[in-house]
Amino acid sequence: MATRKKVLLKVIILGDSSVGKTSLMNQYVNKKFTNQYKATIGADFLTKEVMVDDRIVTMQIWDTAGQERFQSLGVAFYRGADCCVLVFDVTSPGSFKSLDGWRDEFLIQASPSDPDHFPFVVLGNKVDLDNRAVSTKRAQQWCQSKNGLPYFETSAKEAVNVEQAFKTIARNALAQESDVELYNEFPDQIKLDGGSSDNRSSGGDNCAC
Amino acid sequence: MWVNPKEVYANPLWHNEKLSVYFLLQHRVGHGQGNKLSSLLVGTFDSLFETKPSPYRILHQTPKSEKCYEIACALTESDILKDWEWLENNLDLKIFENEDDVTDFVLCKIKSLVATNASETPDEENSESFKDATIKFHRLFNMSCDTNLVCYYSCSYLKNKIPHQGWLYLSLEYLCFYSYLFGIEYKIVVRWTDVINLDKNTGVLTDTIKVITRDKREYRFFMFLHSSETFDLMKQLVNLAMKGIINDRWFNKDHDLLLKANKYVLKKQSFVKRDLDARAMSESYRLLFRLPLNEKLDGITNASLFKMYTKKPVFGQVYLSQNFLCFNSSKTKDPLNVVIPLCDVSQVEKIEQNEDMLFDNAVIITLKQTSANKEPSVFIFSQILKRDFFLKNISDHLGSLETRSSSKFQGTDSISDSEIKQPLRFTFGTKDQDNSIIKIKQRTKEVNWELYFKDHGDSISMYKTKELVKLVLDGIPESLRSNLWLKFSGAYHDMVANPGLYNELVNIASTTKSISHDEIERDLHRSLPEHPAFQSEIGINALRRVLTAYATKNPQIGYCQAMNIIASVLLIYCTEEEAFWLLACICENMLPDYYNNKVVGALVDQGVMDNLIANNLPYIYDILSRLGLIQMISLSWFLTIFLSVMNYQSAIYIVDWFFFDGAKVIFQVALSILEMNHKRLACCHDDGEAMQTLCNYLSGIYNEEFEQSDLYKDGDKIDRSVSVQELINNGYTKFKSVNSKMIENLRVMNRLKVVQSLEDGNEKNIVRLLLQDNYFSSDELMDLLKFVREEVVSVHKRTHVQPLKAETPMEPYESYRIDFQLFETMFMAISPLAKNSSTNNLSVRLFKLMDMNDDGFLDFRELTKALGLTSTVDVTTRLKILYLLHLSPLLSNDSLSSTDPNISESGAEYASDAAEYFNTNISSDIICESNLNDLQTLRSITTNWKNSTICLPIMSEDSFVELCKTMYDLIGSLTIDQEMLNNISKISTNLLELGNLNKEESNKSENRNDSEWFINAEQFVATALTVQKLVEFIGAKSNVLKALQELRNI
Repeated sequence: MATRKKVLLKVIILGDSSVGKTSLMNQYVNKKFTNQYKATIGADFLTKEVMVDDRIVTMQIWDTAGQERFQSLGVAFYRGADCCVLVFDVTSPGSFKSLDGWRDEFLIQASPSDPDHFPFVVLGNKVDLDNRAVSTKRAQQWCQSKNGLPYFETSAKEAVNVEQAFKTIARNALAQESDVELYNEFPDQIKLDGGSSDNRSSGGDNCAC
Repeated sequence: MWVNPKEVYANPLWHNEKLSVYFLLQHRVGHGQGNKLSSLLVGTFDSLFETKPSPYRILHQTPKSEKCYEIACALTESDILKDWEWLENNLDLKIFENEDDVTDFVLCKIKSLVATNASETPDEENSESFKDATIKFHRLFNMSCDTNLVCYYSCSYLKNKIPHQGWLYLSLEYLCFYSYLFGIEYKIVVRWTDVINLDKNTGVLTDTIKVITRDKREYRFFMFLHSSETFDLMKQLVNLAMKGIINDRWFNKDHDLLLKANKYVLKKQSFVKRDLDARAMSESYRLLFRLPLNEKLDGITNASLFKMYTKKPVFGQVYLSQNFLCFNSSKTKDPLNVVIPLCDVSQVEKIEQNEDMLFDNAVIITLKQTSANKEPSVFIFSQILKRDFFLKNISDHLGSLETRSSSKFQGTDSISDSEIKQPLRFTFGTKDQDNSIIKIKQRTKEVNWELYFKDHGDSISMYKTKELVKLVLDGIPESLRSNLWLKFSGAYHDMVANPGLYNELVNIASTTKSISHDEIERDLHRSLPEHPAFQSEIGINALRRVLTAYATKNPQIGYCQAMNIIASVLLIYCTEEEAFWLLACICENMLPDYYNNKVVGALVDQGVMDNLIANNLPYIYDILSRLGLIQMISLSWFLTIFLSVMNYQSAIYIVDWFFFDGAKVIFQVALSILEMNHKRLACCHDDGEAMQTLCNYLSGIYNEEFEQSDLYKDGDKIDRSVSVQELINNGYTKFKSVNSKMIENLRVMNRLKVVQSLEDGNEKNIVRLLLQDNYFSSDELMDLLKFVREEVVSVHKRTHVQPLKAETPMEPYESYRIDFQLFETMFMAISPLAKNSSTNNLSVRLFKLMDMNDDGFLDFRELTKALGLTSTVDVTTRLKILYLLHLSPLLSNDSLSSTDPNISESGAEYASDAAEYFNTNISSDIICESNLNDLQTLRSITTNWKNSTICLPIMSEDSFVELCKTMYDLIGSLTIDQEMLNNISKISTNLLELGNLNKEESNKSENRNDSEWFINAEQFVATALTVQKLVEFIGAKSNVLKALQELRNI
């Protein structure tokens, strides 16, 4: 049965340079924060096993490079993603403005089958800092305008909301995944279905004659 | 240089410099001057007629005769003055009574001079037979004269399995084929920029070359002869095209080559072919000896170098270029490599023959003394075939070096004013440095190196032998690192040639602001955070200075993440200036295009890596393809020379080897890593697991020298996997076959793939973005873009397009820049508004309206907007645009067409004129502020066109007269229908009356009597819409695809 199978979820983290993508990933997976991360070149990667609604799920989290000139490399990493996490820095309006670009870029490069309902999750990071420049309202409005994307305000440094955010990420990714999983699990049934529908349609033709 | 006398006409393009009774020394107008109009004009004529005359000439003319004869020409003033002096000193023409006799004598004398000098003078650009082929090529394929044919070959084109014998013509821009057999003609024209794959198959009798283009067409050519040469040339040409796309820079002929006397050149070859060959040779020369990018090879000759340390000669090749004399003997079992900068040479002498024949035909080269207590180094080359020629060449180069250096190196001693910054490792010691075991190990290494230096020298011209490779593989001692990195990589040469530049750039960078600087700022603390130096402001400031100075030096790269990681490690071992030059050497020389705005170079090398895995480790290739990991594993390895994926104290050994042996090292190490992980990879189930495996393995790599210390990553202790020494040795011994030449070859093929796929992606993005503007369908946009791409090279030829900077964030459509000529061509072909005799005015105005940043170019979006607003929108909007184009801010500046009607006949001059015109107008103060503001208002109207509340300015009477003229022209071009003309005059009269009414109204309402005549846009549109024929004409639907096809067929 599909529900008993060990599931692998691929999650991509996108966002401008230095918004805290690597820190968020490490806070979630390794439960720690250090300010000693190097700038991510190309892509980085971590896995974590979690329980989502009684299912054991392996999350494969891909952390990407933020600088614009690395965007053309995305295609190799985006392929087969189950969820895309868009991160911005609440102290940097520029990083918030870039969200549109990152979302578009992901949709083009990954070309998911149902782009309107592909699970994105938006994180406004660094809420522990004082010099906040993007208001909660503004961020929520943007998320609302994109089919109501889930929005979390996080601090990778102080582990605020990180766990909750990734739980949502996992659940939404799983919802996406199970749609696909059904087809993979029962290839024979689909053939049968296809066959029967063929029969039905040809039967209809016969009737018309 | 004397030339066979030929009759020429007095010509305003030449300016008299010197006059005597019978001779004229002339200088070509515009040569060597700035971007003045005359200079532009002359340049265009030259490229049009492909005459490329020398800028100086001497004419012979007798006072009473109309006839002039050109008798000498030269590229430099000093050369022509020599000829002039010769004439003055040697020709006594007073003895002749008759002017005709003078002419006869002079012509005869010059002819004999030419004949005697014939063997020594350089060839003219191209031989006669080649010129014929060029003419044929231009005629057959309807090519413009500035298309340079490079070479032509006999071959067969395979069509439907039938070979058609014909000729393959290769030009800088195109691959063309022509055959005419049994009444069937085959013509193929392929742009190099459209080629996505080149391939050669070697057969028994013939070789097949396969070419695939963007539109997925495949061409096969059979060749009996010269197939390798043809294929190599094709590769070179397609590579030039790709590099053109990457860097927005296109091929320029190297005219220095013309000056070079070379008797051994085959007559059949074209000048461009020789240029290309010379480039290819210079490139491999630079690669072999790690020389600066502008170094041009002058010649190669066989010789033996007497090895001082073994007292034995070794046979090899001597290479000579402007600044270097190099020696290489790679084919012997004892390879040797020596680089001698000519500026270090103090003396070059012949050695007279002695009895033991040891120094047969020998030359001894003595270097300048470096310190008082050291004997100057000496190199003895023997068995030089043409010793005198060789000596003469060296002394020529030494001579020109002296004149250059005396003018250049003045007042550069001021470096001392800045504090001397030492490598960070001195200020910030790590605990390993105090470890006595490590100290002993370092000392042992230093002793080994000192021994080597004693025999082989330690200057830039040291003998580089096999033993040196061994020493490098063992890791360079910390104290010698900066010095040897600079010398091995060749960064030393650039540093020595540009003293003080670093400090200058730091100063400039500290006072400027840019996006690069912001990006650098964000990454300063994320470069090498584990090192104490970068936990302190001292280290951070040094890193900031180096990175911002480089971004200032090379704005095309600016700043790319990964450069920070490399620079921070360099700073630990080097001074800031050294680190800066090493970084520049990596970015521009060793890892070309890696850090540009699309990291193209790194992508290309991913492809190269894939090829190498497939060839060297096929079993691992299978595993990686199964896991879907091809094309992505090694990106960060390459971009940071492994510094970001393993402990820097281990990776530094790879960096040592990398500076010594070049880019091939990163491939050898990468292959070594994969090979050592073969079993682990085979067990992986998915890409994530494999990535994790490799990642763990890499962070576990340790350095034997620091055996005592533990490995940490992000604060966690990690298990060791393998020592970097073992990894390097494995790479060096198992993947010896991977050499620089092979990598360069693979890079060419992969560059093709990467560039074309990026272009494809770019194209899709542009079409997607511009579809939102609603002017054209996606098919139309695709075709418009294709057309613009086809013309890119021609635009570059006629205008000086500045390469784009990497740091300005760009929309994809901004990378295409359309000059006025191309715009006009497309506008005329597509828009119904262009179909009238006063188009020039309209197109200039439209161009100016759309050129938002006034740079003389439209980007692709501006182009589609200009075309869309005049040919695809509804008729009301088109009428409004017509109205807008006649408003005063555009009209008042529109003096172009009336300035010189002759010029406008030829598009090229017109275009450069237009660009010139726009540029001067912006800077000159003739145009007043308010006018510019008005132009900006009109532009903002076009950007907010869809906003219906936008109100167009009112139109004055003068402008209206112009508008009426345009309408007459439009209709006039359509038909000479009297009724139509009547209709037009009727609406003009109506509008005139309306204008008068408006005037009275406004006088009345505002209670004044000085209002001017005016009409508004709504009145014009409403009136114009009443004339059915005009509506039909202006509102005609344009068929873009058809129009472009017709343009292509012209």
